[in-house]
Parts: sequence; C-alpha cells; structure tokens
Amino acid sequence: MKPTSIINDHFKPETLSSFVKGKEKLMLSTLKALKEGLQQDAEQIGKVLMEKDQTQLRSLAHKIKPNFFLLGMNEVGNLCKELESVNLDQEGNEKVELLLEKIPNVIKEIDEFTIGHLYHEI
Amino acid sequence: METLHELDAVPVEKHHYGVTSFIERNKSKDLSIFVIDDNEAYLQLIKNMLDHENFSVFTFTTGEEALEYLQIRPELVIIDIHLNSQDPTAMNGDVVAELIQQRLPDTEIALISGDKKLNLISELHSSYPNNIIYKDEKAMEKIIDVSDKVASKMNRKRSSYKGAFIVAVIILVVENIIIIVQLWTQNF
Repeated sequence: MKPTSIINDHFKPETLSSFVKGKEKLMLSTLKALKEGLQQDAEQIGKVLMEKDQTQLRSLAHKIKPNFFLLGMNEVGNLCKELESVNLDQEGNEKVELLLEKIPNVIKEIDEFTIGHLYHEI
Repeated sequence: METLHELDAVPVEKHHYGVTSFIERNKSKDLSIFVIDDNEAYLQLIKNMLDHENFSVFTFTTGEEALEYLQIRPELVIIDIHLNSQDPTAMNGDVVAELIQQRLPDTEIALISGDKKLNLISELHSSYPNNIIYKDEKAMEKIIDVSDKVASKMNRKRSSYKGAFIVAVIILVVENIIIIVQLWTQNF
C-alpha cells in the first residue's frame, strides 16, 4: 500500500514564493528549471534503478531532495532523505518506485500552476 | 597581493555542449561570483537571485569546469559539497574549494549542503566558520548576505587602492612643485 502522506503531498507555491521573496519572474524561471530538472532526474533514477547502482541512486536522491523542499513538498523531500541511505532490496525498490510515480504528478502540478499564472496575467 | 588591474581578468573561452563562447567579468557589477552545483535547478535559482542583486554570476555544474575559468578571478565562490550525482568521478566541493583557495587565496568560499547532519560539515566548519549554508528556507537569504559582505569588503579594498593612488599623486605633485620652486629661487 502506498503511503498517503506522499500521495497527498502537493506543490505549494507559497513556499517557493517565500524563497524568492515574492519575485514572480524569478519564481516562474525557477519552476521551469525545477520541471526540467525533475524530468531529467526521473530518467536518471529509472536508469540507475535498472542498473541497480545503489551508490548513484543515493547520490541522485541527495541531489533532488532540496528541490522538493523548494516546492513545499516536505513529505517527498523526506522520502528522498530516506533514499539517501537506501538499500536496493524489495522495500528500497518500492520507495524508489514511489518517487518515480510521484514525479510526473509534480510536473503536472507545476505545469498547471504556470499555465494558470500566465492565463491570469493575460 | 592582487592589484586592481589584475582583478580585471581577460575574457575566457567557454565550451558548452560543443558551442564556444567567451565569458568575462562585467566591470560594472560589484562582484564576480562562481556558483557550482550539480543540481541545475538550484544553480539557476541562485544565479537568478544574485543577478537581481547586481552581481555577475557564472555557473558550473562541476568543480573541474569551474577550475578552468579561474582567470576570471571571482571574489566569491559558492559551491555545493556534493558534486558527483551526475558523474561519480567528479570532485566534491570541499576538494574543489581547497584547490581554489590554493590558486586564489583572497577569494571567499561559501559551501552549501543539503544535509545538516553530514559528518564532513563539522570538519569544514573550522575552515569556513561563517560560510556554511544549508539548502533550507533561509538559504537564499544567507547566500545574498554572504555576497553582500564580500561586495562590501571588495569595495573597501577598491577604495583603499584609490586612496593610496590619490595620496601618491599628491606627493608627486608637491615634490615637483618644491623642485620647481627651488629651481626658480636658485635662478633669481
């Protein structure tokens, strides 16, 4: 069963907004970079999972962890924290799969926010 | 010791994804800063944040790449401790920081980390007591704070160079006036 805390953890724009001191342009450019980063990271995580490269997987989890805190997604950030010391046994694999399933949803939420924001500006 | 004209470094070729471009210091900006992080989103965030603050920012995803551009002589280097998520053989931030300090002893180093509990942090605290920044909600504030402090230090340094130059010019003028007066009195 998938942990509901991860499923219910959503992008909170106000967290990123406070990081960038409310600067809108900066927020949108950061979101663009975060989205691109997440797409690449998901690809890389999938690859190292297939290769069962535990060290690289831990390193990738460490790298992307702060991105989720920027997005206000502390639960997913904490999942990454757990993955920093993950062993690729069944439990470890499930945690990685959980993160991989979550990333497309996060990207979707970023897209929705960005499009909504741009639409609002027009 | 660095002099002012040494600080105005020459343009350096940068090769990125097969494209060659030139990067150089922007003399109208207060400070040149290198930011090194393998997390490109975070790298972009720091760059955009500092660009807004009138700093000239150069970004690198590896320490190895940054080391090739030290001719730019950044006054501040902000570097992530973990730099090997893309390339497992890449040097980590603490090693790169040491190499930069050897070549540019006047350059200020700030280390950033996503992990407060990292064992290495306590060791690094003695070398960089005021400049360890965690990637938490106060990270950007601290990065701007460190940059502002280095900018003030550099401005003071530049002012003292200017002051010394003005004093030297005044001394030279006075000496010349004395010589002229002496020659004039000898002739009359």
